[in-house]
Amino acid sequence: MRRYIAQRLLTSIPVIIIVGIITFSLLYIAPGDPAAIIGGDEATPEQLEEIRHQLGFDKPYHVQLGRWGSRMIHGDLGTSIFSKREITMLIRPRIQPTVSLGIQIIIVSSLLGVSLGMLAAWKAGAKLDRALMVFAVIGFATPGFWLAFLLIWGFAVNLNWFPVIGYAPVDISSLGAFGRTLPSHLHSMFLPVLVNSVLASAFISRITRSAMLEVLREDYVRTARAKGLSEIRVFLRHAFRPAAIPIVTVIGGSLAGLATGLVVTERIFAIPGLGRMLVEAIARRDYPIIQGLLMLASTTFITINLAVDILYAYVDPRVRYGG
Amino acid sequence: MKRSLSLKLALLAVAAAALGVTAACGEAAPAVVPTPVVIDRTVIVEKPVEKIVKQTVIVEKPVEKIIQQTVVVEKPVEKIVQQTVVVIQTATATAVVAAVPESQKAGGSLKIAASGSVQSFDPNWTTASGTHNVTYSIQELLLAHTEQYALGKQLAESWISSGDGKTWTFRIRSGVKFHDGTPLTTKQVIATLNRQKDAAAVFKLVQAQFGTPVFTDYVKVVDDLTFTINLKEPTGLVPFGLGPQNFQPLIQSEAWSAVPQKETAKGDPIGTGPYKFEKWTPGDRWSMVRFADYKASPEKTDGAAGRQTAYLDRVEYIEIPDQTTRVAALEAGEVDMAQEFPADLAVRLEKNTKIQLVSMAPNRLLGHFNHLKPPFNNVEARRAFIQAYDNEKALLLAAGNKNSYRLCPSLMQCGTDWESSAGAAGNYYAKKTAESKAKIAALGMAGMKVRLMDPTDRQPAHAAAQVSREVLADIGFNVEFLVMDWATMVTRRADPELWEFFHTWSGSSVRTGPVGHLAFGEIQYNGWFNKYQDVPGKGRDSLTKLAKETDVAKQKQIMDDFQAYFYEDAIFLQVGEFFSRWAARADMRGIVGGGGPADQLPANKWFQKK
Amino acid sequence: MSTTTRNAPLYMAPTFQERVQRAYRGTVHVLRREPTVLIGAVILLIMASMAIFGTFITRTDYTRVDPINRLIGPGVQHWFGTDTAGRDVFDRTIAGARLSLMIGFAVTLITTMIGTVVALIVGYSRLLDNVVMRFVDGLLAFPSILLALALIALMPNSGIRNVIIALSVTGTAGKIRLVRGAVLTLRETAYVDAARGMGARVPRILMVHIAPNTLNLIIVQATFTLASTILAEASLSFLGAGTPEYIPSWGNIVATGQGYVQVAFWISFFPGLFLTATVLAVVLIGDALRDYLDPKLRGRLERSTQ
Repeated sequence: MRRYIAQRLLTSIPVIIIVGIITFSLLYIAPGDPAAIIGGDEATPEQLEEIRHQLGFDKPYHVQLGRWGSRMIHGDLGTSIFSKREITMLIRPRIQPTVSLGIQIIIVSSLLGVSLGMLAAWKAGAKLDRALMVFAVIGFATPGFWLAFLLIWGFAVNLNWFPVIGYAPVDISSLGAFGRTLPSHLHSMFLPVLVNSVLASAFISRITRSAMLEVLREDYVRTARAKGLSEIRVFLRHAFRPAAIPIVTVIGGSLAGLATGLVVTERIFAIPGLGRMLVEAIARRDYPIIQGLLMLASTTFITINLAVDILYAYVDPRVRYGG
Repeated sequence: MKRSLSLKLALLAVAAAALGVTAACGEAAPAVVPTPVVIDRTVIVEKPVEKIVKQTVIVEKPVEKIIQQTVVVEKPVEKIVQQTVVVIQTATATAVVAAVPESQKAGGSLKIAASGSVQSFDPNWTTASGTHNVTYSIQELLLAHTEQYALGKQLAESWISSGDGKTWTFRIRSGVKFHDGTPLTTKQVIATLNRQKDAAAVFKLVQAQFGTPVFTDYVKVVDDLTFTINLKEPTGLVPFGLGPQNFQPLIQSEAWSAVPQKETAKGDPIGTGPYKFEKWTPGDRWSMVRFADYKASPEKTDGAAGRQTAYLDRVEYIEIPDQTTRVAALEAGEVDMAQEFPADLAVRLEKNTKIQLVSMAPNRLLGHFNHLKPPFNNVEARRAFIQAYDNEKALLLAAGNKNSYRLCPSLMQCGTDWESSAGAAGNYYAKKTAESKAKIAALGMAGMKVRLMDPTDRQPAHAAAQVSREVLADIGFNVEFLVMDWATMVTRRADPELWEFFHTWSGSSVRTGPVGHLAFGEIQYNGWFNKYQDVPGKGRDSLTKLAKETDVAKQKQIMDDFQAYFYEDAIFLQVGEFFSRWAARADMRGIVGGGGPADQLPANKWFQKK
Repeated sequence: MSTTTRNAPLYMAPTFQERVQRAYRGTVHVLRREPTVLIGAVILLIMASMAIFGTFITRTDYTRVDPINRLIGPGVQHWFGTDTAGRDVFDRTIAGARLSLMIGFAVTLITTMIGTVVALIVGYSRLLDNVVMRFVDGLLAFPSILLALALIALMPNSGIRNVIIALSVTGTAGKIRLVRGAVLTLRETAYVDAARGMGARVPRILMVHIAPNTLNLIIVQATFTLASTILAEASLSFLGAGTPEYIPSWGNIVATGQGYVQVAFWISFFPGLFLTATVLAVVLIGDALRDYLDPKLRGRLERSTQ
């Protein structure tokens, strides 16, 4: 097991390096003189030269890449062109909304998706199954921003149940403060979480259903049934556990798709997270922020996939030895 | 060179005007240059003086300052303001009848949906409206704007000029404390002035033209509460140098004053104001709480000057750049006040009894040519475009409904005594598309590329850009439509290599009289981002004449002549005027309304208790 | 490729005619068994004809603002109402169909062609495989919408071309990985071994024995690429990174109406409905194709990012 983890860790390193090279090259080929952007309107040619020199823009590509890489490793994401502040400083307050939204979506969509999928497998071929699978297909086809529009129209505008927009932060400085701020936080996040969860669960339910059906055909399930175990017991005990493996993999893999959902919903519901920060940075062509967020997003994504793989290997020994 | 000449001339006019104002303020020194004529002219000259103070604001970041720019409500605005004023008056009337004691006004918290975003809380580093929204409540000026945009006292207690007019002695109020408990003395005042000396436009101008050149000679400490300003030539402009302006000297703690002006100070802003900074979540919200040890001015409240009272315990600004979202948040009760939004959205709020609408002074929508590059370095091309323009379409799209805009060919605000239609016939709202197209073809410019910048996050400019795209294409140009946000456009317009045309809008402060006119950057030779070249040179002549002229009728004549020339040389595209709104919960009291300097500031506001 | 009998391999890929016949029989079979495909086909046909004959259907110049007629509700004059700038939402929706389908098909074509060619080559060369696949892994490590947004930020101006380039770059990597997987499997099959044993050269093996057998996979995957590209384009436009507002895209029409939920629901409602219906149609067809062409593929196709 330890060997497998080490091996997986080692294979992720080149990926991260490639990701870094791609990200850096994006800024390198970006139009416009970064020194002029950083220097602003009033910078003299001498000042520009000084900036170029200080930031190493006068060095060849590979030297710049090396410097940039070492800054990244030390957790220094650079300085925003627009606000002239350190990007790590700017990112910090944006983490909570995005992470909270992401976690809630994963929890809600997994619970919803897995239970709907199991229900469909349980009633395979019946009306309920067909209805659920129609839901799954529609869920795949519906754009998040449109579903958000429909939900705002229904719940926030006409029924007035939830705030149209806005974000109530949760205070995690102490347990008491957490308890106090959690209800308003969850209330403000309800629609954003719902939009993404409905869409993600459509996909998860589809995978769950097919995984369950596959397992239900296995001999040992038949044996269990033949032994006279109750159907529910067979279903939950014998079938679900093996089926969980592909389901977990799929949920892990769908996290990249979650990125779109986060960017779009943060924009619609005015949630001050990393996604909105990225969209703002793009409108302003604030390349260092774009770079920093790309690095952050892709390394997070790589790490999660790594964790899922390791989890997978832990649950299913065949992966460890087979590979 | 020529530009500095006109500045100098403008300054002279201001100097004369300033005397009038200081006299009018009642607090002026024993008349320094006691010319009765000046006093006679007080009424007329008083506002222009303020205009020059604000002029820099317009030049730098016209749009971001709109909130502060609004000026004395003039006749034409009244119609629009009326409904609002009525609402407020009844509100105040009820309040008066009930005779609410001060103690019952206190309490509650205010949430404001803010239009601007905040990058820094250092008001001496940036002129962004988001920053000023909050720092006006946290830090104070020596002299602040009154309701009529004259100068009134805030931290200054008195000022007096010596017999020869060369030494001005200022005294600050005693017992004032910073939020960290440090008492306010001349030490912090001097440090702030020192930090701002090269940025604060009026302060800089006064020192350069009239003051002693070395800062330490120019501003001298007398004692803890007294300092002097020393001139080599007398002028009445000195108080304006300490008042509101771009990069204004809001008095701050020594820690901040030590940071060079070109850098943004870090940490919480500390000041002497009625509210104390609480916290900031970048990109989301920032807040402040009532400062218990605040020492208010003993003077009567007048705009941002005089007594300021913090009734509300806590004020929170929530950044909502999208105007419809701001309004939605107010309707949903998630905020108590929503900053600037177009009239279009106001229609929805008019029926809502829980919300009061307040008007802002009219804004002027305009479009700028790049005077350095083809095709618009050619006056014929500029004129062809202006003559083909559909002004009403752009205004309607920008304002949203028929009642919220007006066609106005005048460089000075429509409805004022200075309104003029000189030169407008055949140029303004002429829609001569076919003629213009033929003209462009004859010039050999058909198919020439025009880069049009479209700031999609600012509705008025975005609306006008869409109409301009059509007009430019209709008369034969090949339009390259550059979509960006406002912040990017502001950066790009500084480089004449990157664009040919863009739209912006400005408040009315440069549009109410001759001095504002003189200070109006967009029409100055090579003076603004449009780099107006004034090839015939008539513009410069006319502005020089205006600066020397003191007779009102003759000033009017010069300005009319200038306007005719403005259309002849097609300096920029005058689209027209539109009106924006802001809104608050109906039970909010203390709103003066009419576009005054303190209209949207939290001080003096309170909620009617049920 | 159809008539050569000399050096005939043990296994031979079906001829073109056989393929067409099979496809026809398959279509009839599928339509009979799965009525949902019929729904999908009808929707897609309607959308495609809207895209092609759109200029005959639209009655207004939907790129021009007309503020006098702004925010008019759906009715006889304007079937889907007008938007905040007075433009006809029905006309814009029709025009949006053209843009969506054009970008969708263009990106699908580009990514499929480049992806397949690269995959065939790297699938057969271990050295290239190592180099290219590291790069592909790197590209795939980015959430694709973020990479597309960043690429668009790099390009000056805005327009259809930028969107196609950005989505093609992000889409090709996934294609390469998928087709390469199939190539690696096919490379080890008996008939390829046999062909190799009979002295066939690599290009021939690739073209005759491997490429045709990846076709089913490619076709099925292409439908999903089409669906996810249409969604991705709409998301980019919605975020303001797509075409400028005067060129209607389903995404940017929904974006203009977003702030007007209370006063003019129709601006966002109709284009969103068309978008959803189109993607649904493509997915239904793709599902049926997959079931018919290669049931084993079930579950192997990963959901591309939306």
